[in-house]
Amino acid sequence: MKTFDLRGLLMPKDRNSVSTLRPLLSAGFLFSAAVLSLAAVALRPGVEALSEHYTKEPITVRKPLSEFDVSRLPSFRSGWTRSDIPPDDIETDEYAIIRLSAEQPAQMPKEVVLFVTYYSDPESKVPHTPDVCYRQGGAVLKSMKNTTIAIPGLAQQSKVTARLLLFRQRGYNQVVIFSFFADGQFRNSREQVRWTIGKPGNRHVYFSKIETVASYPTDGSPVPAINLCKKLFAEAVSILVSEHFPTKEQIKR
Amino acid sequence: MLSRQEPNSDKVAGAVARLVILLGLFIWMFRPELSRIISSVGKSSEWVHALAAPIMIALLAYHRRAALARRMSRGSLWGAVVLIAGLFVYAATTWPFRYGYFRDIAMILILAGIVLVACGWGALRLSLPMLLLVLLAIPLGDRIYARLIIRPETYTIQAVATALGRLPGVDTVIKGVDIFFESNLGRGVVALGQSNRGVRLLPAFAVVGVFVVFLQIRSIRRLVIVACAAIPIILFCNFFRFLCWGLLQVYIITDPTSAMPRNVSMILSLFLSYVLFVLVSSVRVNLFVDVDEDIRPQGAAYA
Repeated sequence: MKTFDLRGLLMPKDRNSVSTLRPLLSAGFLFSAAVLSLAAVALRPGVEALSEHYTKEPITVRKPLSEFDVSRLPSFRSGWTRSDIPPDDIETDEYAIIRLSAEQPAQMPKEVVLFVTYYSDPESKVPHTPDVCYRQGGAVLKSMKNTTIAIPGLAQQSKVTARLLLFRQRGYNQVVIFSFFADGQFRNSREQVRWTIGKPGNRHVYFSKIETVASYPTDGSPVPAINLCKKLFAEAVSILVSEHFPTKEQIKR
Repeated sequence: MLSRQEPNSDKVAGAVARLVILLGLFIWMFRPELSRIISSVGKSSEWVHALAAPIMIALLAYHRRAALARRMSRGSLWGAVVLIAGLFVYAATTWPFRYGYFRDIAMILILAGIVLVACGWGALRLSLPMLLLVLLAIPLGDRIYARLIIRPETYTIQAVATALGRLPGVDTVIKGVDIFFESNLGRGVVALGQSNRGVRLLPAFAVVGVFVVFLQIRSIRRLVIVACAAIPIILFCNFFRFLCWGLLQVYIITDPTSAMPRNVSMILSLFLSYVLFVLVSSVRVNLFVDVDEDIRPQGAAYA
């Protein structure tokens, strides 16, 4: 079935060249062709030049995370013993991985881990979140949802939305609470962090992942472990923001 | 915006000429992105369906040629607006927001603008399935994909482990994203080392569905029904793929390095998706009869 014939356009029998070209002279087509041509030539170099010109700079923490002072945590300054855990593939030199073990043998959970990493290289990729990487490590995800945590001592954003995950490990279960802190704002997903650090305006860029982890028995309730993780998260964040991470004024242009 | 003065063949020829020129400019502009997509899909079986997408798009266009010819007009200026919006998204996702996937998605907006400015609203409407195929052919970033599939992968792994564990003489244990099995024939891990082993080929199943469903022009009501059934079908095909893989490993191939279980399960599950989408899009139930009868003469003319 013949539907149309391009030859009619290219080799008209009884038309002049103006009528042949008429379909190509519409304003919308000419404008679009011009815009596409211009974009093909100039858009990519232009945007890359802008990107280079406005590249954000790294900024160091006010106080190294290795100097995180556990004795400043009101609920953990006594009755808990600190031990540092060596990092494993975290792509940053600025971190604190601290295990707090209860001195009372009867206390449950017996230990809780604070895991803080700090990134300031504009080329740094936002790391995988525990919901992805714990599963690769052998954990089975039981549930994941948002949870609101009140942070004492913060002038702004005193309530933070963090992610609460429950995992089943071999022989025990695990609670993980995590959130990101990017350019002075709390964010609870990688995409939110990327959006925040991408916003133009600031001179410097940084983001941090703050994570607390505790275990509980397979047949036990997760509530004590969740409460302990929340407590450590809240108290640690308060110190991290007020003493370690750069202030909003420091990152401005 | 149909011109009443132009003969139909001239109108179509003009629209096709505009479309070809603008698509040429599009390819010129996006050649780095297109070559990157082509090179990346060749490296991953997850996205290899992208190589078939151009053929599917050409086939869809061929099947719809009569309808497209009838609906082509002198184009709409709104196409230029859509095109500029696409370029803006492209620029913004290059700087300041670095989202590679959304930068690629901007190409679809620009393609929609091109079709609209060259051929008009009617042709754009008929081209939406082709644009959907382009969307499904664009690879999603590893980290975004890993995050999106957490829940379906968790449930699929649990379901497959349960199904395998109910077979006589087979015990299964889940550890992370691995299903460990033990049977009289041996022991092993299902799909050991395969990335996203619990959830793979979802876009490929979706591409099969889009192609099958839109090979004919169907009523809106049927499209709605198919759209509702699409996600369950895709998830079931994924479950079937992983179950086949497990069955083959438990009963036939216990060598974890063998590619046979992966390839066989992939082919079987893709075939299943084809069958299911054909069934859902063509089974005649009372709900559909009136609508399909209404459009059958039109559809027959297109074919």
